[in-house]
Amino acid sequence: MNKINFLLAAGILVFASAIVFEPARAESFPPISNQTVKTECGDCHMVFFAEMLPRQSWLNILNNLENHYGEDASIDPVSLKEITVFHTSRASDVLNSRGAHKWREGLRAGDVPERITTAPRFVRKHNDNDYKRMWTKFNLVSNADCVACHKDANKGLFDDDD
Amino acid sequence: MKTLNKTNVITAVVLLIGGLSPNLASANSARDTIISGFSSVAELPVSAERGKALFESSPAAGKPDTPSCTTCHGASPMTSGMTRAGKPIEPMAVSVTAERFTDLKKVQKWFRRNCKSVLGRECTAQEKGDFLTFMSSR
Repeated sequence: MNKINFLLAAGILVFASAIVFEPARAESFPPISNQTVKTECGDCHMVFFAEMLPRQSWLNILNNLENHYGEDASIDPVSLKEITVFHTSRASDVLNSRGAHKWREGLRAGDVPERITTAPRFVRKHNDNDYKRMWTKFNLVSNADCVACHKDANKGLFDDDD
Repeated sequence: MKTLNKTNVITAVVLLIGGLSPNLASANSARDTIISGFSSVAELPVSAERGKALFESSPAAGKPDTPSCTTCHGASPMTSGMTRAGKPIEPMAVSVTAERFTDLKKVQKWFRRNCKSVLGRECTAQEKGDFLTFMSSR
Protein backbone atom coordinates (compact mmCIF):
# COMPACT_ATOMS: atom_id res chain seq x y z
CA MET A 1 0.00 0.00 0.00
CA ASN A 2 1.57 3.30 -1.01
CA LYS A 3 1.56 6.35 1.16
CA ILE A 4 -1.24 8.17 -0.69
CA ASN A 5 -3.55 5.18 -0.55
CA PHE A 6 -2.81 4.81 3.13
CA LEU A 7 -3.60 8.44 3.84
CA LEU A 8 -6.77 8.18 1.78
CA ALA A 9 -7.87 5.08 3.68
CA ALA A 10 -7.07 6.74 7.00
CA GLY A 11 -8.99 9.83 5.94
CA ILE A 12 -12.05 7.81 4.97
CA LEU A 13 -11.89 5.94 8.25
CA VAL A 14 -11.78 9.15 10.29
CA PHE A 15 -14.62 10.63 8.27
CA ALA A 16 -16.74 7.47 8.62
CA SER A 17 -16.18 7.22 12.36
CA ALA A 18 -17.22 10.85 12.71
CA ILE A 19 -20.56 9.90 11.15
CA VAL A 20 -21.01 6.65 13.02
CA PHE A 21 -19.88 7.88 16.42
CA GLU A 22 -21.44 11.30 16.35
CA PRO A 23 -23.36 11.41 19.62
CA ALA A 24 -27.10 11.23 19.09
CA ARG A 25 -28.68 14.60 19.81
CA ALA A 26 -31.75 13.59 21.73
CA GLU A 27 -34.23 16.31 22.58
CA SER A 28 -34.38 17.64 26.08
CA PHE A 29 -37.30 19.18 27.94
CA PRO A 30 -37.20 21.75 30.72
CA PRO A 31 -37.75 19.94 34.04
CA ILE A 32 -41.30 20.26 35.38
CA SER A 33 -41.60 22.46 38.46
CA ASN A 34 -45.40 22.77 38.73
CA GLN A 35 -46.18 21.10 42.06
CA THR A 36 -49.77 20.15 41.18
CA VAL A 37 -48.61 18.42 38.00
CA LYS A 38 -45.76 16.71 39.85
CA THR A 39 -48.01 15.40 42.62
CA GLU A 40 -51.20 14.57 40.77
CA CYS A 41 -49.55 12.94 37.75
CA GLY A 42 -46.45 11.68 39.52
CA ASP A 43 -48.18 9.68 42.26
CA CYS A 44 -48.81 6.84 39.80
CA HIS A 45 -46.38 7.29 36.93
CA MET A 46 -43.44 9.30 35.72
CA VAL A 47 -44.47 12.89 35.09
CA PHE A 48 -44.57 12.84 31.31
CA PHE A 49 -43.64 15.89 29.31
CA ALA A 50 -46.49 17.86 27.78
CA GLU A 51 -44.37 18.38 24.65
CA MET A 52 -44.82 14.69 23.77
CA LEU A 53 -48.47 14.93 22.69
CA PRO A 54 -50.57 17.43 20.77
CA ARG A 55 -53.10 19.65 22.49
CA GLN A 56 -56.15 17.57 21.56
CA SER A 57 -54.57 14.41 23.00
CA TRP A 58 -54.11 16.11 26.37
CA LEU A 59 -57.68 17.44 26.30
CA ASN A 60 -59.02 13.94 25.61
CA ILE A 61 -56.87 12.40 28.36
CA LEU A 62 -57.57 15.05 30.98
CA ASN A 63 -61.30 15.16 30.27
CA ASN A 64 -61.57 11.42 30.87
CA LEU A 65 -59.51 10.80 34.01
CA GLU A 66 -62.29 8.55 35.37
CA ASN A 67 -61.12 6.05 32.75
CA HIS A 68 -57.38 6.58 32.72
CA TYR A 69 -55.68 3.63 31.04
CA GLY A 70 -57.61 1.12 33.10
CA GLU A 71 -57.96 3.08 36.35
CA ASP A 72 -60.01 5.85 37.89
CA ALA A 73 -57.60 8.77 38.23
CA SER A 74 -60.17 11.52 38.71
CA ILE A 75 -59.03 14.67 40.51
CA ASP A 76 -60.58 17.80 41.99
CA PRO A 77 -61.71 20.45 39.46
CA VAL A 78 -59.19 23.09 40.58
CA SER A 79 -56.19 20.77 40.07
CA LEU A 80 -57.67 19.55 36.80
CA LYS A 81 -57.91 23.08 35.46
CA GLU A 82 -54.31 23.86 36.43
CA ILE A 83 -52.99 20.65 34.88
CA THR A 84 -55.00 21.20 31.70
CA VAL A 85 -53.63 24.73 31.24
CA PHE A 86 -50.11 23.45 31.91
CA HIS A 87 -50.35 20.66 29.34
CA THR A 88 -52.26 22.39 26.57
CA SER A 89 -49.90 25.39 26.63
CA ARG A 90 -46.87 23.11 26.23
CA ALA A 91 -48.35 20.57 23.79
CA SER A 92 -46.25 19.40 20.83
CA ASP A 93 -48.34 21.42 18.35
CA VAL A 94 -48.44 24.51 20.57
CA LEU A 95 -45.03 25.13 22.13
CA ASN A 96 -42.20 26.45 20.03
CA SER A 97 -39.30 24.43 21.42
CA ARG A 98 -36.88 21.85 20.10
CA GLY A 99 -38.58 19.07 22.06
CA ALA A 100 -42.07 20.04 20.93
CA HIS A 101 -40.92 20.30 17.30
CA LYS A 102 -39.42 16.81 17.45
CA TRP A 103 -42.61 15.35 18.85
CA ARG A 104 -44.89 16.98 16.31
CA GLU A 105 -42.84 15.55 13.42
CA GLY A 106 -44.81 12.84 11.68
CA LEU A 107 -48.15 13.92 13.11
CA ARG A 108 -50.68 14.47 10.34
CA ALA A 109 -53.50 16.97 10.62
CA GLY A 110 -56.20 15.46 12.79
CA ASP A 111 -53.89 12.86 14.39
CA VAL A 112 -54.72 12.54 18.08
CA PRO A 113 -52.47 9.87 19.64
CA GLU A 114 -54.14 8.28 22.67
CA ARG A 115 -50.81 7.50 24.28
CA ILE A 116 -47.24 8.75 24.17
CA THR A 117 -46.25 5.26 23.04
CA THR A 118 -48.34 5.67 19.89
CA ALA A 119 -46.97 9.14 19.05
CA PRO A 120 -44.88 8.95 15.84
CA ARG A 121 -41.62 9.92 17.53
CA PHE A 122 -41.93 7.29 20.24
CA VAL A 123 -42.71 4.61 17.66
CA ARG A 124 -39.78 5.69 15.49
CA LYS A 125 -37.31 5.79 18.39
CA HIS A 126 -38.31 2.47 19.95
CA ASN A 127 -38.70 0.39 16.83
CA ASP A 128 -35.58 -1.75 17.22
CA ASN A 129 -34.09 -4.67 19.08
CA ASP A 130 -32.51 -2.43 21.72
CA TYR A 131 -35.98 -1.59 23.02
CA LYS A 132 -36.96 -5.26 23.25
CA ARG A 133 -33.61 -6.09 24.86
CA MET A 134 -34.12 -3.38 27.52
CA TRP A 135 -37.46 -4.89 28.56
CA THR A 136 -35.74 -8.12 29.48
CA LYS A 137 -32.62 -6.49 30.86
CA PHE A 138 -34.46 -4.22 33.30
CA ASN A 139 -37.38 -6.57 33.92
CA LEU A 140 -39.84 -3.87 32.91
CA VAL A 141 -43.51 -4.06 33.81
CA SER A 142 -44.72 -1.03 31.86
CA ASN A 143 -43.65 1.07 28.90
CA ALA A 144 -44.72 4.06 30.99
CA ASP A 145 -41.58 3.53 33.07
CA CYS A 146 -39.24 5.72 30.98
CA VAL A 147 -36.77 6.08 33.85
CA ALA A 148 -35.97 2.36 33.76
CA CYS A 149 -33.88 2.95 30.64
CA HIS A 150 -33.58 6.74 30.37
CA LYS A 151 -32.04 7.36 33.80
CA ASP A 152 -32.33 11.15 33.55
CA ALA A 153 -35.84 11.15 32.09
CA ASN A 154 -37.25 13.01 35.08
CA LYS A 155 -34.84 15.84 34.33
CA GLY A 156 -36.07 15.94 30.74
CA LEU A 157 -33.05 14.14 29.28
CA PHE A 158 -33.65 11.16 27.02
CA ASP A 159 -30.27 10.11 25.66
CA ASP A 160 -30.31 7.10 23.38
CA ASP A 161 -27.59 5.17 25.11
CA ASP A 162 -28.54 5.32 28.78
CA MET B 1 -15.78 6.36 80.75
CA LYS B 2 -18.51 3.98 81.79
CA THR B 3 -20.51 6.80 83.40
CA LEU B 4 -19.97 8.95 80.34
CA ASN B 5 -21.19 6.20 78.06
CA LYS B 6 -24.25 5.69 80.19
CA THR B 7 -24.95 9.41 80.18
CA ASN B 8 -24.54 9.49 76.45
CA VAL B 9 -26.93 6.64 76.01
CA ILE B 10 -29.52 8.27 78.23
CA THR B 11 -29.09 11.58 76.41
CA ALA B 12 -29.50 9.84 73.08
CA VAL B 13 -32.65 8.06 74.23
CA VAL B 14 -34.13 11.26 75.62
CA LEU B 15 -33.33 13.11 72.40
CA LEU B 16 -34.80 10.29 70.34
CA ILE B 17 -38.05 10.18 72.29
CA GLY B 18 -38.22 13.97 72.40
CA GLY B 19 -37.57 14.27 68.69
CA LEU B 20 -39.73 11.48 67.37
CA SER B 21 -42.70 11.09 69.62
CA PRO B 22 -44.40 14.44 68.95
CA ASN B 23 -44.43 13.67 65.19
CA LEU B 24 -45.65 10.14 65.75
CA ALA B 25 -48.20 11.29 68.28
CA SER B 26 -49.57 13.96 65.97
CA ALA B 27 -49.69 11.49 63.04
CA ASN B 28 -51.54 8.98 65.20
CA SER B 29 -53.95 11.60 66.44
CA ALA B 30 -54.65 12.86 62.89
CA ARG B 31 -55.32 9.28 61.77
CA ASP B 32 -57.54 8.57 64.78
CA THR B 33 -59.60 11.65 63.94
CA ILE B 34 -60.06 10.42 60.37
CA ILE B 35 -61.08 6.94 61.51
CA SER B 36 -63.50 8.41 64.08
CA GLY B 37 -65.05 10.47 61.31
CA PHE B 38 -65.86 7.30 59.37
CA SER B 39 -66.90 5.23 62.38
CA SER B 40 -69.26 7.97 63.63
CA VAL B 41 -71.44 7.49 60.54
CA ALA B 42 -70.88 3.72 60.14
CA GLU B 43 -73.56 1.23 61.12
CA LEU B 44 -71.29 -1.12 63.07
CA PRO B 45 -68.21 -0.49 65.20
CA VAL B 46 -65.15 -0.47 62.92
CA SER B 47 -63.37 -3.80 62.63
CA ALA B 48 -59.81 -4.69 61.61
CA GLU B 49 -61.02 -8.18 60.61
CA ARG B 50 -63.53 -6.82 58.12
CA GLY B 51 -60.87 -4.40 56.86
CA LYS B 52 -58.48 -7.31 56.31
CA ALA B 53 -61.15 -9.25 54.44
CA LEU B 54 -61.84 -6.24 52.21
CA PHE B 55 -58.14 -5.76 51.49
CA GLU B 56 -57.66 -9.42 50.60
CA SER B 57 -60.86 -9.82 48.59
CA SER B 58 -61.01 -9.94 44.81
CA PRO B 59 -64.31 -8.29 43.96
CA ALA B 60 -63.37 -7.83 40.28
CA ALA B 61 -66.39 -5.55 40.06
CA GLY B 62 -64.64 -2.45 38.83
CA LYS B 63 -62.11 -2.04 36.05
CA PRO B 64 -60.69 -5.24 34.55
CA ASP B 65 -57.04 -4.32 35.19
CA THR B 66 -57.57 -3.82 38.93
CA PRO B 67 -59.58 -6.78 40.27
CA SER B 68 -58.35 -6.30 43.87
CA CYS B 69 -56.45 -3.99 46.21
CA THR B 70 -53.53 -6.39 46.09
CA THR B 71 -53.15 -5.99 42.31
CA CYS B 72 -51.16 -2.82 42.99
CA HIS B 73 -50.52 -2.84 46.75
CA GLY B 74 -49.19 -6.41 46.88
CA ALA B 75 -50.38 -9.29 49.03
CA SER B 76 -49.09 -7.85 52.31
CA PRO B 77 -49.66 -4.35 53.72
CA MET B 78 -46.19 -4.65 55.26
CA THR B 79 -44.38 -4.55 51.93
CA SER B 80 -44.25 -2.17 48.99
CA GLY B 81 -46.54 -2.43 46.03
CA MET B 82 -46.18 -1.16 42.49
CA THR B 83 -48.43 0.94 40.28
CA ARG B 84 -49.34 -0.49 36.88
CA ALA B 85 -47.00 2.15 35.45
CA GLY B 86 -44.07 0.75 37.40
CA LYS B 87 -43.79 3.18 40.33
CA PRO B 88 -43.29 1.81 43.84
CA ILE B 89 -46.13 2.26 46.36
CA GLU B 90 -45.13 2.61 50.00
CA PRO B 91 -46.45 -0.08 52.35
CA MET B 92 -49.88 0.75 53.75
CA ALA B 93 -49.24 -0.72 57.21
CA VAL B 94 -48.95 2.16 59.64
CA SER B 95 -46.16 0.40 61.56
CA VAL B 96 -44.04 0.61 58.39
CA THR B 97 -45.19 3.93 56.92
CA ALA B 98 -46.01 6.12 59.90
CA GLU B 99 -47.42 9.05 57.95
CA ARG B 100 -50.09 6.94 56.22
CA PHE B 101 -53.75 8.06 56.46
CA THR B 102 -53.06 11.36 58.22
CA ASP B 103 -54.39 13.70 55.52
CA LEU B 104 -58.18 13.47 55.12
CA LYS B 105 -58.22 15.01 51.65
CA LYS B 106 -55.68 12.48 50.41
CA VAL B 107 -57.47 9.60 52.13
CA GLN B 108 -60.80 10.57 50.50
CA LYS B 109 -59.21 11.04 47.08
CA TRP B 110 -57.59 7.61 47.03
CA PHE B 111 -60.62 5.79 48.47
CA ARG B 112 -62.80 7.41 45.80
CA ARG B 113 -60.51 6.45 42.93
CA ASN B 114 -59.41 3.05 44.10
CA CYS B 115 -62.82 1.87 45.29
CA LYS B 116 -64.22 2.84 41.90
CA SER B 117 -61.36 1.06 40.12
CA VAL B 118 -61.62 -2.13 42.20
CA LEU B 119 -65.24 -2.26 43.40
CA GLY B 120 -66.88 -0.23 40.66
CA ARG B 121 -68.42 2.09 43.28
CA GLU B 122 -67.41 4.37 46.11
CA CYS B 123 -66.70 2.69 49.44
CA THR B 124 -69.03 3.19 52.40
CA ALA B 125 -67.91 4.93 55.59
CA GLN B 126 -68.06 1.50 57.22
CA GLU B 127 -65.64 0.02 54.67
CA LYS B 128 -63.27 2.97 54.94
CA GLY B 129 -63.28 2.81 58.75
CA ASP B 130 -62.70 -0.95 58.71
CA PHE B 131 -59.91 -0.67 56.17
CA LEU B 132 -58.04 2.06 58.05
CA THR B 133 -58.48 0.22 61.34
CA PHE B 134 -56.87 -2.84 59.76
CA MET B 135 -53.97 -0.82 58.34
CA SER B 136 -53.46 0.90 61.69
CA SER B 137 -53.25 -2.49 63.40
CA ARG B 138 -50.46 -3.62 61.08
